Amino acid sequence: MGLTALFDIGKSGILTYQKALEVTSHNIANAATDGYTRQDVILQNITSGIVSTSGVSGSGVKIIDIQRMYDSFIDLQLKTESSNLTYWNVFQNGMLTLENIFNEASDDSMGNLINDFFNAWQELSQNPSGTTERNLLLDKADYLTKRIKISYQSLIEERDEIYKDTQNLVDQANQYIDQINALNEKIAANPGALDAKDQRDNLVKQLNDIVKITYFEDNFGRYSILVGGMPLVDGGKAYQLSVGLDNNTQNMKFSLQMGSSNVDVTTLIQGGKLKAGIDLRDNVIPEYMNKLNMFVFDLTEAINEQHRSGYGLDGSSGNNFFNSLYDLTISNGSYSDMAINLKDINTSTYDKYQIQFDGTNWTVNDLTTTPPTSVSPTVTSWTEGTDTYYKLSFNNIEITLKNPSADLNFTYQIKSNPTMYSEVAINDINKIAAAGENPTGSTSGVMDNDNARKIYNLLNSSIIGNSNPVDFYRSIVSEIGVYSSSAQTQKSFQQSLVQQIDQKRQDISGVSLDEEAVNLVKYQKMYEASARVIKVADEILKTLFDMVS
Amino acid sequence: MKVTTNFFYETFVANLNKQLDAMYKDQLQLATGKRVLSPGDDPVAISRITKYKSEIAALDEYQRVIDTAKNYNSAIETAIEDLKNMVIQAKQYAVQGSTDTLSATGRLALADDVNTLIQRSIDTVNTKIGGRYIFAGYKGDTPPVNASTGVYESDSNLQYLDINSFLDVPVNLPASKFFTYVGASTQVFTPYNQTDTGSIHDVDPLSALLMSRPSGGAIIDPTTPFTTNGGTLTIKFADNNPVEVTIGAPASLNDVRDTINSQAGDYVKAWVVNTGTSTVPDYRLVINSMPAGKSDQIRISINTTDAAGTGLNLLSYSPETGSATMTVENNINGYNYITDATDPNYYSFNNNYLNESNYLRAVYFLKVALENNDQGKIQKAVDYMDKISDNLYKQQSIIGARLSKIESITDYNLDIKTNTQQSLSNDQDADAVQVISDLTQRMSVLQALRVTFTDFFRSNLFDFLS
Repeated sequence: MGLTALFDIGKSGILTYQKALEVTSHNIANAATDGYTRQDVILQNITSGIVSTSGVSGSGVKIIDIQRMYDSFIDLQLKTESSNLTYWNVFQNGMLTLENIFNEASDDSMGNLINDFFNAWQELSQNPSGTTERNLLLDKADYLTKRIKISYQSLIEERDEIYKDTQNLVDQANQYIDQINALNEKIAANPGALDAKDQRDNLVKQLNDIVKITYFEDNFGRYSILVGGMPLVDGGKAYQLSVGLDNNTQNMKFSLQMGSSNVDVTTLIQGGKLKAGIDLRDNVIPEYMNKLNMFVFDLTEAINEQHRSGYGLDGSSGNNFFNSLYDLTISNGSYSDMAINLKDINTSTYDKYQIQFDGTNWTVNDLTTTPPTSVSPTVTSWTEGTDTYYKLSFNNIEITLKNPSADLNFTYQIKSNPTMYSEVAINDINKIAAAGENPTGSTSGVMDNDNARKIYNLLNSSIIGNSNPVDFYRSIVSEIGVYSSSAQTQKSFQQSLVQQIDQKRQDISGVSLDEEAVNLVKYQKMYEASARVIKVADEILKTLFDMVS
Repeated sequence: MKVTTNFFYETFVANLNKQLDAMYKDQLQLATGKRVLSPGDDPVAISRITKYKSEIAALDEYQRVIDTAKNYNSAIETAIEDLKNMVIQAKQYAVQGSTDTLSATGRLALADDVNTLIQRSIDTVNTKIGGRYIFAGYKGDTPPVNASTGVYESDSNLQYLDINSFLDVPVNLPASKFFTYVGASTQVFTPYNQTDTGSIHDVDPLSALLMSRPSGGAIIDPTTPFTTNGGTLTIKFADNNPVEVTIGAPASLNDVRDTINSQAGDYVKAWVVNTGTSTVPDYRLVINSMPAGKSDQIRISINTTDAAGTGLNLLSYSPETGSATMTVENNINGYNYITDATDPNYYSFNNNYLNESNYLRAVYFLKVALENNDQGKIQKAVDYMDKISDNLYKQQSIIGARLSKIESITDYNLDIKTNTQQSLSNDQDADAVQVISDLTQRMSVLQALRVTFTDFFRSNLFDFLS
């Protein structure tokens, strides 16, 4: 081996450690970069290949690889869990909005307004002819309907808001899909592009936060990305997501453009912000809209029924207190009174029904379906004095009819979104029916408070489904509370889980400044030593040259 | 395990946020005084809080109702107390009027006083509290008693108020129950001796001589012959000279009455009354003194050839000689107690049957008796005053019962409210001491967190490489 080999060995050391220092500096520079994976140099000795009797000597050092310190299993775990975390984050935020709408903890709550409304009847019972009491009652009733309407409106707006957010999220997801596809090609062309891989992983993570995906790497180092088995990115192609509203249900509908056809992927979307949006907008919020509708409808019907049986100061009777919330067409026959009570709300609640009576049998037809379907009601009947009552139960609807004629034939349909139609029907205070008998007649007078007391006592009657108004309302509030608090718990749990996995990831992929500092010193010293080798070689040569001269 | 710089930062920030978040919540609890700030904080508690709040709102409203009910019933009680005092006053006038020494003018003066009492009583019953007439029914906007006719013109409904979810109490007392009659056709202020049709009637409500029943059975028609042979009745009243009344033959019971009234009308009045029923009649002759109230001082002796136990023999009253087929009776059916409301004399002033528990009629009875200088009736009025007084006590005890019901429910409601508020407070209110101690604890943790953080990052390995 020649003396000059020393120079080469020294050179390999200098160049290698310079590179190692570069990698270390790169690590230090990216210590705070999100999603950055620490890089590490792998060094190897260079063998001379010349075997002498005294053994083999090497010819320096080289870098055989710069590795990303990356554990794909932990990364996958992290992606899965952080997708769940974003789901709970969004869901919990949505629940906070609902909580604000139904916040019973505040003093100006809807529960208080319900009490105020009924208390106004109690006030009226103390002075049935009082103008002040009558006006107060109308005010309280008006405020109650307005307040419920505002809450209902907020729920509708929240749904719109979520739809808009979802549209933005879908746009964002499509961008990520395109970018990942582009990076895929770059990485396939240049497998050593470590930072491009980091960038791609970052995009996958962000896409995963929007919608939970699965992915795998193909032979060219490209990622194939799937959502519920359908490809978003595959073999150099990117497929675009889109969102729209279903014509019938008004629920959100997601589809994937595959060539010329659109594939419905709504049910495939699990986890991530999109799923949280679906759950909130199309499951949770409609449930509470329905509950509010049921509350308003049943309250209206119960108050109206009692109010119709009473008399106003002007002797008028049979007036509704609130606007009726269903459309009614009587094509034949008559009845003296009808009241509808909803026990629950389902998909057929708002259908149009035809009801016929032949004197003995009742027939009910659902006209909304095509062709109309026959519904068989459970009928009970009883008499009170000279009045005959019939109660028809079907599809969680209960209709009570008083003295129906034997040829009765009518159709009715509950308005959809009945809450939005809720309004006080009475505008003449003298028509408020506080009296049980006609006050202008001989047996009664202006101080007749019988009906006002009966209406007040509805507060303690099971008029909303099977519970009283306050109980029904508080069950809504408490249910939302349960949802919200469990969302909170899930979120915290998910948070700590993600934190834990992240810690593991950091353990492998993260940058510790102290560690880098040690490496920096280490490689610097190696560099210095390599330089010293060159210097020594130089001095040896110099000694040799001095001998010659 | 390697702790990387970035992770350290992240953990620190997460911990810092956690502490700040908890402190924010504590702070909010202290600021609002409430433990539960949104339904999610405690879904079970929020359900209870809503219920408690609703219950308290209802109890507050019940308290307002109770105040109203108390006001009305106290007013009724006061008014009845006034009426009672007026009855006592009336009784004093009656006692005064019944003394023998008082002159007719003296009684007239008392009648004026009684008249004032009548007007005051009507005014009292027409009392209006908070815009309603408390002695009316549902027609609380018009005076219940007509001041000129004395008739009750309202309805008889009780207005109930709910003072609790399971108890109600009336807040009015229709005056028809104790004060006066109902209906426009009834007459409260009738003249001294007039029926409702305006014809003069003169039945004495006090004692009279009642003929005994003929031995052959009751007379079922007063126009059929009564005495077969006729005869003479010698009638003597107190110290007056005897009057001879000659009855021809044959004569019916009505004829006998008319003859007595025309010949001895200065001292006695004779009446034919049906002491039986309309289906089983039993007509008798009744003779009372003029003036009324002294019928036991009448003496009648008979001179006739009628068979014993029949005809004129039934009309003798001379207890000293042992010959008395008539008896002095106080309550003669069909004569001074008319129970049949369709009888034309039902509302007659002299029919005292309905006066006893009818305030206005009884006081008016006293007034008319005083005006007519009718000592017997004045005496009777004293008894009436006692009876109305009793009736007023009864009404007052009804009101008293109402008030005590209100009182006890007030206490009950208050108890319930206190308990409910306690429960509400337990569920809703923040335990200030606990929260403050939590907050202090968190503050020190935060402090420590900050110190260690700055200490930790003040230096790293690079600082030592120079």
